[in-house]
Amino acid sequence: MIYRLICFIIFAVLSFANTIEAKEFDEVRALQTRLPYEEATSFKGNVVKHGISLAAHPLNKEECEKYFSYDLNGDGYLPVKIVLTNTSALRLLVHGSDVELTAGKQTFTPLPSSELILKIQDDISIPFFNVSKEEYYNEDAIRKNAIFVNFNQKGLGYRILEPNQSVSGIAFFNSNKLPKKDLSVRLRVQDLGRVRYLSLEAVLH
Amino acid sequence: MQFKIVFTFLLSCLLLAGCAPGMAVEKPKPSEFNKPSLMYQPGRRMLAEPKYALKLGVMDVQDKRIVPFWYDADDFFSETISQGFTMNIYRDIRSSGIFTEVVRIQEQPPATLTAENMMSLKNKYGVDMILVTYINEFYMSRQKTGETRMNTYVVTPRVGLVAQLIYLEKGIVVWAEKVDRKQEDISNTGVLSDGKMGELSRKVIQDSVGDMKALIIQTGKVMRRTK
Repeated sequence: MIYRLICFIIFAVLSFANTIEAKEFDEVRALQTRLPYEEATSFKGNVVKHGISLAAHPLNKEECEKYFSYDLNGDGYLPVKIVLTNTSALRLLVHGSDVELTAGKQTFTPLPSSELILKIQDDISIPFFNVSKEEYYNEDAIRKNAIFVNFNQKGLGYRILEPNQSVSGIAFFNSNKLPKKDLSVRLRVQDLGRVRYLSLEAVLH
Repeated sequence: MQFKIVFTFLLSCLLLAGCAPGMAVEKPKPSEFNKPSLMYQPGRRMLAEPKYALKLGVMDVQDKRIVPFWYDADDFFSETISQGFTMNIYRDIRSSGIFTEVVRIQEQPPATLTAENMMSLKNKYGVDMILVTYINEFYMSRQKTGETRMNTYVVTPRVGLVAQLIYLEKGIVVWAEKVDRKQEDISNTGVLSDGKMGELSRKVIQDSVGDMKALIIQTGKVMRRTK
């Protein structure tokens, strides 16, 4: 009798587990986890030219899960955090979308974010049992939207960088096509006083 | 004994349900026959006398977005996104009265602006200044409100533009800013009609270009004739 009662309680708890309202989805948590304010000079391998410093750091498994709720390294992607700090007196236009990885004379352009977004979205699994149709579709929409917005927020687009400011963003590369060593990140900035450019290249650390 | 077997089976089914791959949810598809346009009526003249008594060339807008408009799709509008932005910026700046004359330059700005190619643009199109604009963001997000059982969403199209106004003869950036705007609407299904999506998108672009014009007037460098 006691055994049956325990079984009934476990069954009831499991049945209700998926209908609890206050769900915290990993994708939403990742979206709310912003990249911290960092300065390029605090990273190993940073390069400084005319008061503008650049650093690049590949994200490990834990960082990928923290910022994207997904182990991107395990799927053949190399997410690289790029940090640029402006200690010069110039206003700069950061050509963030045109960032490149280099290895000797080879150059590698970032993957389009839409490829990664679809890859992660396809991996979402929602238990179809114990939830209403509305809940199922709504959970799916919440999680997919969080992934989509997160990639935009953490990307390194075109930005204006004022003096004494720092900017960080993540670019994604196909790790299967990259050499294992001597990788550097190349980023170009433009002076917003008189039109001239500065190209910075920092070793990946 | 029989009860234990049945119970174990039921319990396994419940546990596995949590790990089973979810059913695919269809993504919204752009309507092929009723795509809304991004074009809006340009604003009225803002200045009685032009701030810059010069001829401006508006170059084709460069699309530097990180994510497409909606997940992996961009073809929701009757124009391409860069065409829509280019035409709106050109028409709105032209009607603002900030410059004496505004022409459209139907080419992308060179990847690197050198003294030579700036002079080449000046001679080819007879312009004194160029406006170079980059689209940094133009996407629509769908944020759930309330509990998961309720079908209420806030649908938000967002625009982020970075633009610079360059005086070609000296290669000076007369004005450069980033403008960000968003519009919001409540949807009970999470998907907006083509008409509503077009209306919100046009409004958010119009607001962004409006900010650009106001900022050029307020923060653009004052230019004086030199002897």
